[in-house]
Amino acid sequence: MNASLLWLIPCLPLVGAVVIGLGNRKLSRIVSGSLASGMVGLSALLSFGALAKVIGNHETLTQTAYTWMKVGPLDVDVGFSVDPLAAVMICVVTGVGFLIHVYAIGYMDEDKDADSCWRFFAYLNLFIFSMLLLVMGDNFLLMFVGWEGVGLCSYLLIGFWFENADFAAAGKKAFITNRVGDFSFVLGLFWLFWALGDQATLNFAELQGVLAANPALVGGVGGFAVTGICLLMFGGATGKSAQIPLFVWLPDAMAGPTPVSALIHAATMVTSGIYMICRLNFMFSMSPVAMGVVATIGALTALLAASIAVTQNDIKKVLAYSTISQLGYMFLGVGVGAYAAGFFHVLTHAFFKALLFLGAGAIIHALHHEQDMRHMGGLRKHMKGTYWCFVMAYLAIIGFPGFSGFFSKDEILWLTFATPPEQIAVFGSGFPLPTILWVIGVLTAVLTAFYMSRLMFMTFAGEFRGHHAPHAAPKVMLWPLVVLAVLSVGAGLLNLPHWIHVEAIQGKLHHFLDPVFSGANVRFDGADSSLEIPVMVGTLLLIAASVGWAYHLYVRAPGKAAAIADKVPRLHQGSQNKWYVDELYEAAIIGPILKVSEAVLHRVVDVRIIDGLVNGVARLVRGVGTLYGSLIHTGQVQAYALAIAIGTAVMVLAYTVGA
Amino acid sequence: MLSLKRYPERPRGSLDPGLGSQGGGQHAALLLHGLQAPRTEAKSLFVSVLFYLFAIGVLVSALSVVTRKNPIAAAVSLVVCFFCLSAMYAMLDAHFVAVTQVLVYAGAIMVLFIFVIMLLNLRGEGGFVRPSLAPRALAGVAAAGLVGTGIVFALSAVTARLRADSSAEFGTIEQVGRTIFSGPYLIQFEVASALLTVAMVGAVVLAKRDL
Amino acid sequence: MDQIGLHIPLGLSAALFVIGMIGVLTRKNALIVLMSVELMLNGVNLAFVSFARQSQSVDGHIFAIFVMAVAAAEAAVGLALVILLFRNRTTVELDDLNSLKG
Repeated sequence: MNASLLWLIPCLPLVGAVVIGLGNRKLSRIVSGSLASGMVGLSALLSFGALAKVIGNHETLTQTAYTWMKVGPLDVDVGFSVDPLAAVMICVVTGVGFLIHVYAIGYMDEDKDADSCWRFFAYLNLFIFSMLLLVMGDNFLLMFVGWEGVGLCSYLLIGFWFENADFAAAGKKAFITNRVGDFSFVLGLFWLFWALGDQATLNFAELQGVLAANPALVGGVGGFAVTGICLLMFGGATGKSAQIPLFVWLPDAMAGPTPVSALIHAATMVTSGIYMICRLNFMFSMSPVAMGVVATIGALTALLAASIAVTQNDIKKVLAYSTISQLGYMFLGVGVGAYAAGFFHVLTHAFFKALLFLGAGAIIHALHHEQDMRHMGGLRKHMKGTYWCFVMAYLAIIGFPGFSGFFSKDEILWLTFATPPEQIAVFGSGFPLPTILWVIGVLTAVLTAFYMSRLMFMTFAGEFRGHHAPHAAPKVMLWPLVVLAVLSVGAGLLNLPHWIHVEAIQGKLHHFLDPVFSGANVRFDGADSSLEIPVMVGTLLLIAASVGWAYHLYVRAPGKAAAIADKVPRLHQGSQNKWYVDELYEAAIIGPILKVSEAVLHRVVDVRIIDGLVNGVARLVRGVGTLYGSLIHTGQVQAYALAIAIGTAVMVLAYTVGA
Repeated sequence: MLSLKRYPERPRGSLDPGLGSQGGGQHAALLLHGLQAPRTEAKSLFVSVLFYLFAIGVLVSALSVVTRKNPIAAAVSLVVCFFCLSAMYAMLDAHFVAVTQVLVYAGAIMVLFIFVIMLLNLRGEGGFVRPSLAPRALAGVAAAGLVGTGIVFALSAVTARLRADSSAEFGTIEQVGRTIFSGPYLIQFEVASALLTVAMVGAVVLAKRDL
Repeated sequence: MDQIGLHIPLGLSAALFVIGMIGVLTRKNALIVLMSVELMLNGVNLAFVSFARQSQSVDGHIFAIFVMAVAAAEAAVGLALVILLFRNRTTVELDDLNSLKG
């Protein structure tokens, strides 16, 4: 694997997208699906090759494809840079992407999709291309191209069944919410470029150098400029990665086909916000306020989403809110400065969340698109393979010891606990923000265990409450599940915590990513390290209690859940209605904007001013023409003779008087 | 035909019908010869006055053409104008043109006009100033006035005077004929005759009721 | 004749032309308009003749003759048109002939 082949990694899926797109509906599901999967598979092979090279040589692979623009101080190339962080990410994107492409071939076998499968796979390939651009781009602009591209593909894929108006609206919601975030991102970019003045560069490596050399350009550590820039960029991340306040699109995005939810809204696109912050770790760690904001919003989002997930009945909605919640964890991790830990959670989450979604997809497919968990149950007997894979993911997400999720989540929680307060000083250095965030994190873990157990028990345990008998998943859908299950279990080995005290196998990922995060000077000495094991054990006990309570409510005493819900109707209603966030936005933001648009922009500006201008010009021309016609085209011969006479007079005068 | 050749080239008595017999002619010749020298100034004064008189005649009759309500009155005024003009041409040694003016304009064209006026049995309607179209009248006068101003302005630069006299054969039919037929204007002359033929045919075709 | 300035016949010619123009622009009766046109042409003729005398060249006379020929042709055709007009509309007033309006 050579650095000169780097451009192939994103371009192969692009070629796939173009070929399938041009092939139109002549390509069937199997053909287009295989082509798409093949392209991503090739990309995956190249990605693993790149990863091997990076591991082996401890270097960063770079390739500049061509010069994009050179305008004044702005010098932007289309260049790819694969450092350890990017190497891991592209393997995840292409690997998981490949599995999901293969799964989708089996999933999209409905008759109604037969004519539009080519579109699906073209969009999927386009998405992989955009995501790879985002990950591999060596400068802000290329990353932004990928950033926008994944937003676009997300819209296209969510609204894939666009004949349904609700699904199309969900796609629009996703895109528009993303755009708001993108606006924030771009503002941050502008500010950064402006602050750097004549040292301005958009290349990440160069930027790191510039900021290290003269941090005063952005106000120094804790400066106003760097804080503002980071907050604006984090605004973009909240849009892309569904955090407060822009998370509202992700639950609606479940309108898309389940492979889409698995790929985009679990494994890859939504993690691009965290990836961006990891990329810019050297800048974020210059601003404790920004870091504090990131961590706080991450934690709060995690708690909020988990609190909604406990009452949802649609299996995909539960998983959607679970995604938002886990993304909150990742932001909590990178927010306190634990970049490697946050990224590790990205990795493990990609595996187990993709598995959860694909498993849910298998269930939905088996039950002929039944998504309500109240009509499921007892599927353990009917869909054995799916069940066991699902269990692996379930144990990972709740943080069962030994599974990947346990290691990643635990590391984040511990490092949050051990963060010195001045590192994330939003409310001042004396305020014990890390402890509060840790408490929120533990609470979220408890809720996560609860609602995931609820999901498991309602879906797989008990008796079948549905209408049609389910059938097992076809092989083509099953073996990606198996692969992901293995990864969900085994990924933990990548970064075993240091309390294992076996040098050879601990913290492999952490060491691998060291060169990337060395620019950020963060420390985790805010708490006594002897507390680590007790804290972990305590968390595990709470999680176990949560699982037990869920078991009691949904297996042993089925009516109890409803009874408890009746005791706190307001809480239950609020949780089930997503705490009315959508309604709030509608009333406070969208409604007024639409009203102003209609009343002012449409009625006044558009109709009166612009149309008035255009129509006015037409009226003016017609008026002048009519006037001219009535004055000059009189039909009177002598009037015409008069005109000639006047002309003659002018000529005579000009020649005689003028000369 | 009265010859207005300039004296003293004029042959004594031979072309002068008003002087009667030979004897009377000799008498007149002595008279004229005796009166020659002191009459030069009077003669020239007489010629000038005559010129101005005819000029005034032209002007008055032209104004009359444009202002008469009755078309017959206008046509007759135009005839008078043509006659005065013919006299002026004669005084300007344009003998052939003077004759042709009376023959063609007064004799043919105006006859045609009067035929048509009589044929259509037109009354006089609308005079010079019609109240409904007064603005147009004003505009017309103004336009013409503008042209006139320009011409007057140009004329103010003219300081020359008319030639005292012309050569003997200037403006005679011989000279004109020679210039047309053996000069550069032969083709144009023939074309003019073709033009007249075409006009004639055209007039007949236009005005006929049926062929 | 040398007591008379050249500007006299030329001014008269101009006056004839202008008077003719006034007649063309102002009178309602088509025949009078045609007569005014003849006036204009005669004004031009006078100018030609005056200049011909000044330069002792009969070319001016010849041109005046051509003008007369053309005037005759034009008068003939014009009068034929007036007759045709009268035959179709029983009026020769120019104000009533406004089919070209609009």
